Amino acid sequence: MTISIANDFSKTPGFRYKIQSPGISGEEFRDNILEPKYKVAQQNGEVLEVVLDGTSGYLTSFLEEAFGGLQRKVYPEKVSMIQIISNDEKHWIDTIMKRYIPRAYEEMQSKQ
Amino acid sequence: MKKCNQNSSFLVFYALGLLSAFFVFLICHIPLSTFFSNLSYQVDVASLFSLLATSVFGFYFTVILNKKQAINKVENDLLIDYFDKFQKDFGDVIHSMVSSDKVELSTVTSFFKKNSMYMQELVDLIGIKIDPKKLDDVQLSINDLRGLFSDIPRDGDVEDGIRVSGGYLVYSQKQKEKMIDGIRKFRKSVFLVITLINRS
Repeated sequence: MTISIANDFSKTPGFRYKIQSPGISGEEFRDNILEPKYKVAQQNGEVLEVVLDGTSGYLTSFLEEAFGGLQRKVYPEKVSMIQIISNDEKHWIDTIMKRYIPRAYEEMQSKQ
Repeated sequence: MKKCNQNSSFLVFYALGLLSAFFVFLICHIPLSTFFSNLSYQVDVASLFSLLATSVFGFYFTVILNKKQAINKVENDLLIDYFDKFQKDFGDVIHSMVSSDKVELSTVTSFFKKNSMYMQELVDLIGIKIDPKKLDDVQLSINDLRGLFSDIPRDGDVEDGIRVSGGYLVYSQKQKEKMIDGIRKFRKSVFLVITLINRS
């Protein structure tokens, strides 16, 4: 299963929260697209591919809210069945998989 | 000017080679008595061959090595110019964003996306000359700057960081100072890479 942020959400992703940029925020992307598709992919035992290419670029807070936020929402489960595809900005792959998701998990752990 | 120097050094070596060959030819074909009637001489074939071989190899290696060094220098200069242009353009845009009261979202996202792609090209190009890992500090300083410009905190607007106002990004004075410091670190990391290219 694949999500293309440019095709399925917006070519011009916005800020972190809906209140800051309604319709194009990281919060809305996570709640309306990422989380539902992640759950379907998980039920089917598939890896969810998320393609970042094709947009005008991202604010770090948009991606943190989307992927870190997903981890915070599905905790105590660990977000693992996800693959980031980014040919234009390869650095996002490590940033999301090695920073945003693990840090969100650690943050939730530390709260308990 | 550089091309002129390369051509003139090539001509000097070429002339020396011709001159050596001419003297060897004279020694081999014209008896010395033609010039010095009261002299007698003995031709040592081994020494003559050694002299000839040394001249040929000396000429050959000097010209080839000189050419390789010249090509290497031209490549280094091109890479440095390319990298220097990148750091200048990048730094100038960052400075102009820092001096603005508010910055459009699309300005920040497209600027950092464009420069990430440009940086990737540079890593591929500079990787020919030096270990691409030497560019890690440049990449890190760009990532830090990206964070300083676009990492809106989760707990909402903060006085000392980034605020969102009317669809624009607004930076506090403290945040701007961090950005200026980030540009300094970025330029320092670029300078270190340039010195490495120069030495390669």
